[in-house]
Amino acid sequence: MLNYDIILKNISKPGRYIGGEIGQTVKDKSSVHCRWAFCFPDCYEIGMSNLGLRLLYSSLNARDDVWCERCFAPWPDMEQRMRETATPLWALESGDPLSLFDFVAFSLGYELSYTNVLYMLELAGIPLLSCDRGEDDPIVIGGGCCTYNPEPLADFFDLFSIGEGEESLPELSDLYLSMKKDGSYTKEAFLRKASELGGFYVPSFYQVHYHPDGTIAGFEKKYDELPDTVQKRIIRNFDKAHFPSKTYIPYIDTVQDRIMLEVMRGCPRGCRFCQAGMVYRPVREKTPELLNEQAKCLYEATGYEEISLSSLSVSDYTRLSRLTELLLEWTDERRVSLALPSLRADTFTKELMDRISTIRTSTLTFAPEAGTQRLRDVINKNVTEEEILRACQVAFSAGKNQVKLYFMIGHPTETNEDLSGISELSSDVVHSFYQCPDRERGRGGIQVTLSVAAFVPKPFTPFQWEKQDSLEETERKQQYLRSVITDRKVKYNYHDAKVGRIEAVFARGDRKLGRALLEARRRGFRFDAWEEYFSYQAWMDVFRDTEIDPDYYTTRGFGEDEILPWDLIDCGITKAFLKEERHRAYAGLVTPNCMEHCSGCGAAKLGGEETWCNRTLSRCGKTAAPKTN
Amino acid sequence: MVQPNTFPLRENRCPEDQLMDEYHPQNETITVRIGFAKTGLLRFISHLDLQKTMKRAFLRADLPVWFSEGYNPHPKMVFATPLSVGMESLCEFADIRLTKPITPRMLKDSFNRVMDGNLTVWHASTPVFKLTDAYWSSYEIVLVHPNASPSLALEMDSLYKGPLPVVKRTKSTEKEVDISPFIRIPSVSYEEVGAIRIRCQLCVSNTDFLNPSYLIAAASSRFGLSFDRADSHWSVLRTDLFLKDGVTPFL
Repeated sequence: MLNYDIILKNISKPGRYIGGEIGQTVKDKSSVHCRWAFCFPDCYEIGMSNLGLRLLYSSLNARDDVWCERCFAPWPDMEQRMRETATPLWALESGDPLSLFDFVAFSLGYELSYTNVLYMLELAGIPLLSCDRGEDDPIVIGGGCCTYNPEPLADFFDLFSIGEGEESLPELSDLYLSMKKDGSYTKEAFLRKASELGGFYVPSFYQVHYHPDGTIAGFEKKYDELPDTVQKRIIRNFDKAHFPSKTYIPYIDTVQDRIMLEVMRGCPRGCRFCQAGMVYRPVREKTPELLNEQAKCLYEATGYEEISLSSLSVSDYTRLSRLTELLLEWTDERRVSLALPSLRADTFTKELMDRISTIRTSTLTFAPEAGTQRLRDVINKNVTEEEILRACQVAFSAGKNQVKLYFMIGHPTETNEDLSGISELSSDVVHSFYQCPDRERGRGGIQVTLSVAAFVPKPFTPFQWEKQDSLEETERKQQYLRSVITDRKVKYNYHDAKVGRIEAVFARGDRKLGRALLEARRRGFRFDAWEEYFSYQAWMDVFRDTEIDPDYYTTRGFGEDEILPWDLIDCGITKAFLKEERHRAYAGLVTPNCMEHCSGCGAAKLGGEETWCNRTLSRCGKTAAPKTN
Repeated sequence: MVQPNTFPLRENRCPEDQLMDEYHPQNETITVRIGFAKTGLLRFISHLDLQKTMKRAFLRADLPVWFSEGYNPHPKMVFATPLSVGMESLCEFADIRLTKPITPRMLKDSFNRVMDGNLTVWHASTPVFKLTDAYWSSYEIVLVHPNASPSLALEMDSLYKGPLPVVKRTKSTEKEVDISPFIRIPSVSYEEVGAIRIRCQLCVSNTDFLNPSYLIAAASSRFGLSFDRADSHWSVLRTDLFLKDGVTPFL
């Protein structure tokens, strides 16, 4: 039993480690036969904000004989205390060490959190390598968007859940329970059966062969019945997706401390750099009436003062007008504000602005992603300068005077002219503020904040084969951009290029990177997603000592005919579509979004209802609902 | 540790089912004083987090909370005394504004139904005294240490009864102060399991607030007790709140 008075003595933010939140699930251990420890490889404040964790926690706990608990990466001060007191990593609800659990699951959303996975396993006393774990050790499973290329983690995980887990994880628990019950359980037998369920990838069942130059020669299956590729799982009818009516409410401040109402899954747009926009297809929506009920239910269960409509591109939700109308019937009088992140400039209207601006609105954010129309066409962003300026005008007229613009540098074919375009576009936004007759006067005028990230080529995007700019080139572009931004109302923030390079290595990495991760753990790496703990030089030393050439994964670029490390995974989108999109990018051709025209990406084969994908609909004998916005 | 629901909390002087209906003449709101306990694992959440937790509980409980007007509407809550992270209390008071009258029973039942027992409202009434009238708070401090002994308890008892100069730190200054005027009726006893129990009243007034950690620090420096080790710890429980006479319960 943990003694909190001792373990939490002089620890920063002890509220991270106590659990006990209103809405957490506690069960009687004796009536539970399958226990999950759901781990988020970052600190409490980040992990508690994760919607996926909330959904899966709730869908696993919906069953009486399964108990899912939470665990987050202890901050380094707690790591030290745990090592001093020989306290193994525990799950918040029961306080039991992770090694006692049946499943230890990791949510993998960011490549730089991989070191924290190994950090947490080590603190839990669980052998890091799957081949070193025995029958009594927990089964280590990973899921989340990073598992579309799970290969760098192949050595450490027993299996990966590919795609949406609300249905597949309870199925996996069922399989586990039944095999334990009828005595047929061995880890190997269980993993074999699991790979038949669909959506589960067991890396140890596939051997990778390499060419002398390091590229992949092929994959070899251990058993004949295994699928050649593992197809991701989706929830076909999103209205019927498991909904957590009861959810944990953190006591301490977290990053996303509000109701997250997931209005749709997938994005119809098809930006060519965006992994989420590709791998979450097909688009599926929830109906406004259901969403309104769910929002009310969550408000009553939590008392949150803000509802965030969440999706990859919320203004593409076809019945947004109806939904906000329903929500405003009760939210205003209860002082609950609506937040719409991820707005698109082309679909942002005055009507929408009026709906979100009644209570506590903050800065508006748009993502033009590139500075010139030419480059926006290359990346298929499909937003024009006029649309961006018009959207800003709407915001200014409503009294806003802060706009945040997201850009990315390092896109394929980018030139200095495109970089200058970022500066020009920002100045145009400033200019349009002063031309707006209804602008907010006084209060220091306008503030435009630029957040400029560096492009990281990601698997399952049309840019998956692209070269990443070298570190020197990215840093040159960052400095160039600084030199051309002269407007004093424009604030320029940019991401560390070194972080983007390491991210790129792991995003497109193969199994050889396992040895680098292992060595990184041996050297004590953790919290690499945090600036204060990230050391580029230390990573370069690890790569040198483990004979990994980071250029191979970054500046080299991948050949279109090359076998890719993630070719074992099938996210629905075909390689032929991605190739075609890449070629269209180089030709400067835009591809219309799914609402306007089907481009035949391949995701329709996965099925789905309430969707914009016409191919999917015709498969289930339906036609698309008319767009009402 | 004493459980909040079993502790003999003070008797409620206000009838449970009589509406609290004293409207503030200017803004048509009703100010209600609640007495609550913050115990168990909630001792590890900060004052700011407590405010947020209370506010959400009020909203979940669907109580008629008044919201401030303006850009960021929020319920108004004022607390009588601060409580450090890591310390428990059976006796906290706060004022909150409501838009319509309710009974103490309704308020308590609705609030406690949406919390889990670590934050329990046990009293509600129209305020009797001013919040700033709170002057002495009683505490039970338990020190668990391998060096704990009956003789150490005796020595500590006389330590707290005599003049007690300590270095008091604020954000900008650091000065030596005799804290004995801010300690009332201390008594120290030895408990069987290597634990020493200190009972006392400490000043909670705005100007002379004395944090119980000073008493722990004074004992550890005088007797060389380190609490920064795996076999030792302290716990602090605030048990009651009084006016300046040290006897009249604050309400």
